[in-house]
Amino acid sequence: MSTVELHELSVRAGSITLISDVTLNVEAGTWCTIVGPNGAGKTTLVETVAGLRRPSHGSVSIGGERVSSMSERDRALRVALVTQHPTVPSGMSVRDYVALGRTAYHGLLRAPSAVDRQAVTDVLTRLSLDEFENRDVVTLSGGERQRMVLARALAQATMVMVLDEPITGLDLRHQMTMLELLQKEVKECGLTVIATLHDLTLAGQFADRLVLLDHGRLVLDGPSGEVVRSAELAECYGMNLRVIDVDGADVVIPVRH
Amino acid sequence: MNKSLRLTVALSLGLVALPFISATNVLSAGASSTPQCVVSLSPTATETLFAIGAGKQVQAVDTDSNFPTSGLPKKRVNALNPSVESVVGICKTTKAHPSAKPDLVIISYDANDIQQKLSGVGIKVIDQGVPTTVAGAYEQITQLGKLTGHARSAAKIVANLKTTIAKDVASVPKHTNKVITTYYELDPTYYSLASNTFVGSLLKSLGVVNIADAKSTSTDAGYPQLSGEYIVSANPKLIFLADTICCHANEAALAKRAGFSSISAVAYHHVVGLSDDIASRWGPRLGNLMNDLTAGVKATLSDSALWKK
Amino acid sequence: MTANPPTGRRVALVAVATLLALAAAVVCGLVVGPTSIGTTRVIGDVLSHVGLGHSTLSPTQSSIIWQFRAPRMVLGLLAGAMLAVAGGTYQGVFRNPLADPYLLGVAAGAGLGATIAIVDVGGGLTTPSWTPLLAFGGAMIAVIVTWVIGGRGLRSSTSTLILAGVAVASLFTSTQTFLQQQSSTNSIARVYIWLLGSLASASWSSVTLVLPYVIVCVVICVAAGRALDVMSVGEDESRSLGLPVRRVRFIVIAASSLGTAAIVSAVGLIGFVGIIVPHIVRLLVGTSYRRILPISVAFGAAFLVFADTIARTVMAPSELPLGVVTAIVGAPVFVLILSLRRQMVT
Repeated sequence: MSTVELHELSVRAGSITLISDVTLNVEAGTWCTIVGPNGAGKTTLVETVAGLRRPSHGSVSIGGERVSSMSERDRALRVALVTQHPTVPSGMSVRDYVALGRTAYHGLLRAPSAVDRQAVTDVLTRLSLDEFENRDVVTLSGGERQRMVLARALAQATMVMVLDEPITGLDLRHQMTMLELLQKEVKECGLTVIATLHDLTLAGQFADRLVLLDHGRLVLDGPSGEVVRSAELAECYGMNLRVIDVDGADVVIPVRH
Repeated sequence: MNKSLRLTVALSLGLVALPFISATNVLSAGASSTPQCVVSLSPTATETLFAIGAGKQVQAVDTDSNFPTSGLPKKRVNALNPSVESVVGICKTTKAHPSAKPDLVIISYDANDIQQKLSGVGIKVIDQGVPTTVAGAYEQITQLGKLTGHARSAAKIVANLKTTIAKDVASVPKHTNKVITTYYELDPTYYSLASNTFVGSLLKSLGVVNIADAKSTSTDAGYPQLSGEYIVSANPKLIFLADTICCHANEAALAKRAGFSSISAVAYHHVVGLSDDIASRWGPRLGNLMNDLTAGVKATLSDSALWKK
Repeated sequence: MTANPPTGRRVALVAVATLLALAAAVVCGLVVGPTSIGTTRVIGDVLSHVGLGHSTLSPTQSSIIWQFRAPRMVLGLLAGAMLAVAGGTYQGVFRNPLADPYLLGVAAGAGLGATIAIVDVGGGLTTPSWTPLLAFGGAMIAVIVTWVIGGRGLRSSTSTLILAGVAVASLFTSTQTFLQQQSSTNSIARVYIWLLGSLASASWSSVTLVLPYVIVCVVICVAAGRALDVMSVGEDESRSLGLPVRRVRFIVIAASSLGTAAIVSAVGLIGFVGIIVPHIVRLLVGTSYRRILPISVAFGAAFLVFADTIARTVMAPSELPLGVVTAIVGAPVFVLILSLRRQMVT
């Protein structure tokens, strides 16, 4: 049984159709990256998987249960979300911010338990954030901050993690660090990842499978190597794309006519 | 046995009645001797107290009390926001009056729950608000006389007022075919008073027609707001201004208002300015008010040019 | 360089200091007043009520302490606590440092209700003694209308709710002004005195009336501290963390508004406490509402009782309107906070 199942999913806002008839199954412990031009509906798709939007038609299920029929707490225990522009509230310490990820476990009226506190410590160490533990979150650099957001999502200890453009605005080194961290979680802890990425090269290198979305429709779904070389991809982006193999990695280059 | 039974019954009755007796505060009933410390939180009551000769017993008045011009105590209390606790201890302690508590407090508005609070500590409070008739004003003067031990002075003042008012009414010549439409102005936004107010009743007794009566409904308690248009169209022959001090109203200012220069009262100079203080109080200077009102009516009646058609 | 968020030790220190201030305020409220009664004698009287020793006060002085000052002090504690915690809660729910307990039309609604009572609309239909009831009703109606117009908290942006509050407040205030114009000058003065807020008419009955509302609402607001901390990352992220955002918003706004309406009906519109106290506390203990709210309860209570002590003593035998004192104290403190904040960031 797949961990995440999208079945004939459609999402409408008023008269505008954002996502149309998407069927997709993501197996447990795999990384599925969603690519596509701006406005394709990538953000809407991941928000719907995370339960922030209701399907107008069809369904999203995690572990066989429909996301739209779960309570907020149950949802938080199953899927974690990293948004494109996370809000970082000044005055909060890094530890407290990461500890927010444990909210679904201890609830709103109880203090975090020893288990919760240990989980936070573990995540902070795993992501090399322990030296910043007591710092105000606004003092962190861009890369550190993004790591911290990931740490919060990891503290939620969910089966599934959904990320929307998690490396935007980071320099190359931090981009790679983030993606490597995620890859580690997938490989070593069996995390299921659904992420949207702009960068086609990185998308191809860090995912087992690529899904191409255009105008809300699922255009192509297959292994990264195939999708990056497909005619559909070039057509979607409306340009000439060349894929070059460099030391075993696929590099996608746009070529001007 | 009969005797002891009767005694037992009497004692039991006495015991049963005891709580009620003690609650009735026998002391205050006995203390009908002249109150030495009176606090007046009403400018009208202040005037009355001094007029009946109780001035020396008044130890504090409200911030609006300004008559008589001399002799008022220095201690002033804002009647709209009084410090109730201060009032409780406001009196000078002397051998004759060892307690700092006032013997009598007169209010015309129950601010800060003062009536209940003062009564709760055994201070006598009377509420003398605006009366609706002249008789009500007389009752208040009489009441103050009784409470302060100047009943006779109070009675004299009431009698004088009655005489003055009756004389004034009588001095107005009969005028069955002359309709004196009158406008009484309380403020520049055309608030007026109808005949069911105490000033209104004075006007009525002088035989004038109050243009505010037609506009007064049950919701305005006798103080309707008129409009410039209505006043101009009613064309009163006599106008009284009770807002000369607060709002600098006078005939010249009136003439500047749109359409007012065409009003008979303005054209023939029958605009009478009254002192705000006299017109807004119902104490011993009621006679002065009546005199002013009467003079205005008589002047209007005797103006032959006005009545020529 | 921004300082680290305050440590647990600092917070504990602030908490202890606040409790001491609260104790001092209680003593102040009983001992200080226009009639000087003497601190030791007052304390002696208090002790005699719990069976320790005899009182040396006359019956009048005893009345002053127990019928005048004590209920007033208790009402001041309740009002200060409720307004401060409501202000802090609103600031958390709306993520807006300018939020105060009157934001959603509570003030305008209460003002209209009180005006209807004082101005005696309908000529005898209502009387001034109805003021608390009508003020409370007006406040609750205003909040409910704001809630419904503002999208029932379903819109993700809280600015819709705030704008609805502005609209409702304008409507109610203009109606109030219209009614005031229809009445005599004396009534207008009475309405303004009510609007400025006062503890002067406090009695044990007004205390018992307000007490259940305040206790329930303060408890709910303080318990919401953790939820408000989660909400600081915004609606979408809070929901993904497991927070039932709409339900929390509704409960928190309902509790704050109800408690504020109860207080306003008893004491009028006391300004500044709701906005100033949470800010001062935030400056001292950091941005976590788990810390800000409970400390604001004690701080607000102490602040208002101290302010009231000034209001009822400084201009004896008249009183200063309490709203004037809180503003005179609050405004410079506000400026001080702002300049300190600027120093901290740079």
